[in-house]
Amino acid sequence: MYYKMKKNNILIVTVSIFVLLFSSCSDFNELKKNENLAESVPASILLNNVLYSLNDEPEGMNERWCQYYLMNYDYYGNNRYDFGGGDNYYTTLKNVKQMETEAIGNQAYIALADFLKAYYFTKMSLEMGDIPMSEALGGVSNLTPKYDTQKDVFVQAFQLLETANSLLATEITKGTSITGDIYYGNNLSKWQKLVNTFRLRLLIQLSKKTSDTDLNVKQQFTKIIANPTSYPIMTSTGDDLKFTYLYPSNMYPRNPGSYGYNATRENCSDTYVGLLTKLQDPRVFITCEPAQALLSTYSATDFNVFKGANPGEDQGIMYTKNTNGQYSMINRYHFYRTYTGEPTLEISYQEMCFNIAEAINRGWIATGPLGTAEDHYKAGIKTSWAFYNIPSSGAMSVYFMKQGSGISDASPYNTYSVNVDWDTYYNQSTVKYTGNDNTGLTQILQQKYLALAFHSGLESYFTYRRTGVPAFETGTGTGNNQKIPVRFQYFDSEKTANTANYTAAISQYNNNDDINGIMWILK
Amino acid sequence: MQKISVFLLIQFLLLYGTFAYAQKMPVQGKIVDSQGVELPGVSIMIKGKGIGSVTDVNGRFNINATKGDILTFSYIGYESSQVVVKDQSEIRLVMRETSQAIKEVVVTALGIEKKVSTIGYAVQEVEGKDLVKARDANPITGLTGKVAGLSVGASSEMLGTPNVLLRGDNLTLYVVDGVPISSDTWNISPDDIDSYSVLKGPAAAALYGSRAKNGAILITTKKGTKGKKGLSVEVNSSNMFDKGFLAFPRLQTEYGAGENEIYAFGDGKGGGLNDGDYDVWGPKFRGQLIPQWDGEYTPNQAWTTTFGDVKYTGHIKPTPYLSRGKNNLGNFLQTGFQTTNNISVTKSGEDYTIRTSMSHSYQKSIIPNMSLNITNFNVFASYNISKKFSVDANLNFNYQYTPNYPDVSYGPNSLIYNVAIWTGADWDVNDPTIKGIWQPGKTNTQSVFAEYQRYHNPWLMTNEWLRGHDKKDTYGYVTGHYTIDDHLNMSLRTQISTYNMLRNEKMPFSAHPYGREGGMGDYREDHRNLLDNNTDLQLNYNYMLGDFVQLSGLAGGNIRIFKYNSNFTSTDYLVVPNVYSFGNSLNAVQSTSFVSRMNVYSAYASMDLDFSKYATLSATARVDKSSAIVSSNDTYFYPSVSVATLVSDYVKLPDFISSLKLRASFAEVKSVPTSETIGTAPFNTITSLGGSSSTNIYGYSLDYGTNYMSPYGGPSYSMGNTYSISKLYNNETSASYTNTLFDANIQPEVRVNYEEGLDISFLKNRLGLNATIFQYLDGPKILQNVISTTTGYDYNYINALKTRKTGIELSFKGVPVKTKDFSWDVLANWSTFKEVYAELPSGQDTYNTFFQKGDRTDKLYGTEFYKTKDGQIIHDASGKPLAMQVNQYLGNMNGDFQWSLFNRFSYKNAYVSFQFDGNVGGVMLDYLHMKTMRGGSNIETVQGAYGVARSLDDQHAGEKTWAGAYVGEGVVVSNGVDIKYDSKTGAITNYDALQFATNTTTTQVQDYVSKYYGVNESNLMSKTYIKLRELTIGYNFPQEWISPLKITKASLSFVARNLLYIYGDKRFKDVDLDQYNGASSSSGLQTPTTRRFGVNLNVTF
Repeated sequence: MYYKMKKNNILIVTVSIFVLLFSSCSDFNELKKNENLAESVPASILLNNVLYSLNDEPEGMNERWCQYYLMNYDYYGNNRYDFGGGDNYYTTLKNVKQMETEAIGNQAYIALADFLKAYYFTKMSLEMGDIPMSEALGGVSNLTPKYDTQKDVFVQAFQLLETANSLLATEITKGTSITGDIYYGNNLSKWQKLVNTFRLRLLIQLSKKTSDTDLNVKQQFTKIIANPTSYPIMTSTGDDLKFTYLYPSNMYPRNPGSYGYNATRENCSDTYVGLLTKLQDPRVFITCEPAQALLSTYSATDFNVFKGANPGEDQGIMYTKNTNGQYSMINRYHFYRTYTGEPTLEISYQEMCFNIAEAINRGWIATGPLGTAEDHYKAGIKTSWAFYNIPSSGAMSVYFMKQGSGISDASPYNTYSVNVDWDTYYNQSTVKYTGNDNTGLTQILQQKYLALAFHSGLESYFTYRRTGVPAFETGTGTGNNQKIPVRFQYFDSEKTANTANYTAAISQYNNNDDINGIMWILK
Repeated sequence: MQKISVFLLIQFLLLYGTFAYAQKMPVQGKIVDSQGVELPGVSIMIKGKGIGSVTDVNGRFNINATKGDILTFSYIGYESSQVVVKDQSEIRLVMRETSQAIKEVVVTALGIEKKVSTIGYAVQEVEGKDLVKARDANPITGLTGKVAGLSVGASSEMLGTPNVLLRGDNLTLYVVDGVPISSDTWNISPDDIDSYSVLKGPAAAALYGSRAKNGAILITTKKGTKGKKGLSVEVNSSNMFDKGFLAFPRLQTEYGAGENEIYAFGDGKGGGLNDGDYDVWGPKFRGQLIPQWDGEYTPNQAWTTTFGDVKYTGHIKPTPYLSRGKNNLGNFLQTGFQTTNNISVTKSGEDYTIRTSMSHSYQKSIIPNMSLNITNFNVFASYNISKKFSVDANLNFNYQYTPNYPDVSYGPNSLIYNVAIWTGADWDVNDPTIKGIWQPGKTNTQSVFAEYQRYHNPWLMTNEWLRGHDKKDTYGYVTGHYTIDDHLNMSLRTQISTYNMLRNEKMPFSAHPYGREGGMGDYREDHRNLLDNNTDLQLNYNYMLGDFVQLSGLAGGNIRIFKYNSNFTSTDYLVVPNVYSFGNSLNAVQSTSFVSRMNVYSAYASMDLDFSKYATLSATARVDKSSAIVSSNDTYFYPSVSVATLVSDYVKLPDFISSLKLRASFAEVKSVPTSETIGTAPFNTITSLGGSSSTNIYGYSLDYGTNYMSPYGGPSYSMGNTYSISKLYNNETSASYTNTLFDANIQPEVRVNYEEGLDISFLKNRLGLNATIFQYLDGPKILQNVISTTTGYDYNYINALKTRKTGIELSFKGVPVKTKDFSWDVLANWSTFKEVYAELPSGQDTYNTFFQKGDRTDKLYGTEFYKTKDGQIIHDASGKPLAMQVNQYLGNMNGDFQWSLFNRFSYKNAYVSFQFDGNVGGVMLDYLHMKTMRGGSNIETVQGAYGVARSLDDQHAGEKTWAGAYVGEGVVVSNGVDIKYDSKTGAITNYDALQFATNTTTTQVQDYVSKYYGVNESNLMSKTYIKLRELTIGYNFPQEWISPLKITKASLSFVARNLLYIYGDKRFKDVDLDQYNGASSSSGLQTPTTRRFGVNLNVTF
């Protein structure tokens, strides 16, 4: 029994117990490992992640800053241009870099990584101006990356796109395959077309920098258009980079479930509707609804019945007027009827058509794949019509929500038949291309604005900022002393964690991170 | 290598003990007080020989003496005794207490009782019996105001964990009978608690290592007394009810739901006029005809309702618009009730004691259909196997279970959200249709309510939408003590603390919280299992070095083995309504899991050197090796030193000073990245259920409701070069790399604590004051430092940032009046602290956007209005106030000081006691106020200028030309100059160019209020308040009444808690500040707090 045991024996027993416990823990360092997370993953699931970030969902500030629709309900937001930090794609770019690491041997992932770097870096630069690029993404090896000038960002982007194009060409020939692509079903040929189509977009963004001999904007544009074999570009809407919505995993942000939150709180903007009605454009019947108060004066299919609010209007007044039926709501049949809505075009064939038309109009190139500027201009408009299933001639059914109906009613829509005719439309003086002059350019840009409605993120804002087309409207409701600001601020963390480089970057804006400061590309 | 060194240290300590062993025949004994309670730490000296000893925790001692020696026994607070050694080898002595009012022994780290006079750091003790009578269901919330520097923010939610702060830091170490347990604070039965001892800082708690960084609450349970033979049965019954609200949403009942005074019900989800996801800015209740939620649907008839120029035509027959639910929340809530019953049986013999205790607590919530049961079973046994060897064991089982607990976190899952903020008086909570929950013919599929887009019928929420909680906590230990000789004894103890928990949620069809708008029901289970095992080997020693110096202390080693795993599983909508099983999932079942392990090996030692009556010098040392830190710096050492001197023992002080003690201490504690609490299985939050992919252990799988945090204490896994997996598109797997860098050589973080104090008592110890000044030097911390995101990463874990916290704690205790029958006892506590940034990360002149070196760490930044130099709000041309683009300093989040005052008056067998306490200073944003103002339900929106203008808005509702009648107080820029501001500070840079004129532009009230109260400044509340916390009227039945009934002791008390809540600005009396005792920037939603009244009966047989 214990009490007869000598104390030394007890000591031995206890020490032994301790030794036993210690020795059972020989895998001490193993315990430090977090078993819940992976230390390495296939490149394909990283591709899935970095591609997902590319989608600009069509319900947010982007579309309001592009003045397509407006928020009339203060509690859920406003139409102000209180620009804070721009989009932050650096952590996404870090994942792009990890994808390169994990892609050992598969150059197709490297090519897509090059494209994605070009895409995300230039997008951030378009928003903010100079940004870290060459020294960025270094992790702990460089905690304070210097800012590259906006020009250098574009120079590097073009190099990346050049590499991406040639790498893809090689890999396509070799028959290399990838997985994880949520846009093109892992079709590398489509990616190659996208790379070059995107490059055309970037070159158009540089329309004020055609004289720069490092960028050679015109020459680059010419090179791509002239060599479709080496530089294939999109040839139809089948090549569109678009985000397709799915039920139940990825619902369109406007849907029957969100109807009661937003549908009546979003009305059309005059910038958008005003242009549609001025051009007697049938797309207004698809994306907008009649202003209820005007139905006593005009029929539901009269262009005069569509009325948008000035984005600069005081939001409280806009709310009241909207309640009074003085404004068009965005079309609830088109946008709210289903859970999958319409796919969101990020980089599209129609946009490319307008970009080529613009390049011809500006004299960068003489003709494009479809011919003249007018040919591309018309192709762009027609493609947009087709997107909305608008026939080139004949009757088209249009649907507007009945007053007093909810989305859950058995038959909530009034149906009207509208006669559409492409030739009549196109032959209007406001629409028919006037030639490669300033008016022609404005026409191209107006039609591009209409085609990109609710698509392609901030692209229409960037175009407006570069060209002034269409004229954006302002007032107390848009803030910023009734001016459209021309750049986003840098991220908050830059002020404290990358102070010296940040300070140097804003020195060009009077040492103020000023949303009204003019960046290089706009000079 | 490290492992071996720990082992060697332990072996050395053991050998040291063996060498010191001396061969002599001991005299043994036991010392108890007049109640039979064993007295540990009694000093025993052989007169004239300079040999001494002290009693152990069981009051036992051994000393080598020869026949004829005179043993002197002394113990502060007791009269000294002398015993002459004769032939007996066993001495039993009862020591009599002196007439001192102040307790002289406290429990310190590792459960060791020490004389107060020898302690060099701040400890404050509270008797368990003081709390049991004025009881709260939670054993910790009762400590509010009882200890200077300890702040307990009670949660108003059933099962809500109180916010326990010691010196402003979260206190998470609960130690029961010397062993740390994993505690949500509900798993300890108040009836089993003998006393609490609050170790206020690292100096006191250093022996517990990292976990004691913020101090500890030590709980000593009742154990019975060996040697006090016989059977004792104690019964305690406490019954209380909740009635009357302290803080309640302040709501208007003059206007119904809608926007801009316009409303017509169509389908309740946007089909009518403002009938879905609405505000409470609808029409005034004037009896006018309006289509409403319960109006008759007439498919063949159209009804037109007109608001100015707005016409609505629908098929719901309009009915008079009246204020039908004037007090919906109040009418919905019911009287709460709680009953706690305990019976304990103690049986003791000469060499054993055993105590079993059984408690059951039942709480009926003030929210219908919600309740909580807690069953607690405790058994303690101690047995002396021989004179030298004894065994103690304790096991506590605690079972919390409820079929339905509340979740009031902001969102459609919250009762407060649905009833108090976003719906109006146009429906009545007791309307039979509403109470019927389901629409006719649509039972279990479609509920009935006034709105169908965003809000819920409260009866659906409480009767059909059920959240279950089922948690089983088991903790216990087995200890063997072995007395080696007069000077040495050894113990080996192993202890476990474990829980397993299942929470589930049954969400009915037509419930639609954030992210689950499909409304097709769901079933969830959240399982969590924790095991924490500590094994200690401890050697206690006690020697006299010469005549003058006594050396005592301990050395020990500890192995901690920690394991945790959890999983969360959810359906993705249901097929068949009301069948809550994973097999009934419409889409693929979603699930996440988490597992963690941690080992910590420690060696520790303490040493007390008593320099006779002059001073006590104590030192502790601990070395830990922990697997919770990724770097090679996983072994770390921390020391503490303290000194105490009872000046009054050796300096002649004026007569009115009975004693004066000075104390000082230093301690250093290191800690590694662990997390005290954990939520739903983290790391892979379920993106398809609305959760966002998360790489931290606080990640939440859902997009709504409260992420219940349970006790954890394991590795935080905050550092690692890992990928997290989520499903972003079409349920395809997607991975993203960590956004966090870390220093591969990261070191444990450091806290250094300096503390000085004085304890003084006057007038024969009738009055006593304890004062402590402390300083925490924290850092370099393990800092999740914000880095430039252009690196590809958002944070970098580095050893950086130092903060300095300084504070003062005063505790005053006294008996101002004491006569034969009457006495008046007072306890007052006061404490304050502030923390500043002492050193920013290198290369940074600013931390966390706004903070500079020397700034308080609790400065609150938020939005403010642009104002003129004389403070007038600047409006834009449309008459709306302009908010600054950069956040501004609004105030400090922590209060300036906390105080409490406890009084007790006893007369013969009766007594009355009460406590006031409160906080002074500090600010916070009132979230409920912000929401109810912007939502139009707050009573202020119908008062004063708002009320006048709102009524006019109602008269002119829908008129095309109506531009409102409210004119915001302030100015507009009158000379057309653009306001320019600095992008860093937000300050206007061109004041001199601006000219101002009084604002005259009218707006509608809703529009103005929504903008005005969207700015933080408008909802900024002071945190100054006073509470009448508790009131007890008690009566101890006289012996002559109860003796014939064979009752030893009986008492009856009437108890009230939270009687009064005194707050200055009634606008913000919708929040009970009690729960926001820390540095929180904003309140959340809370169930209204109530007054509680009850009766407590205690009988001992």
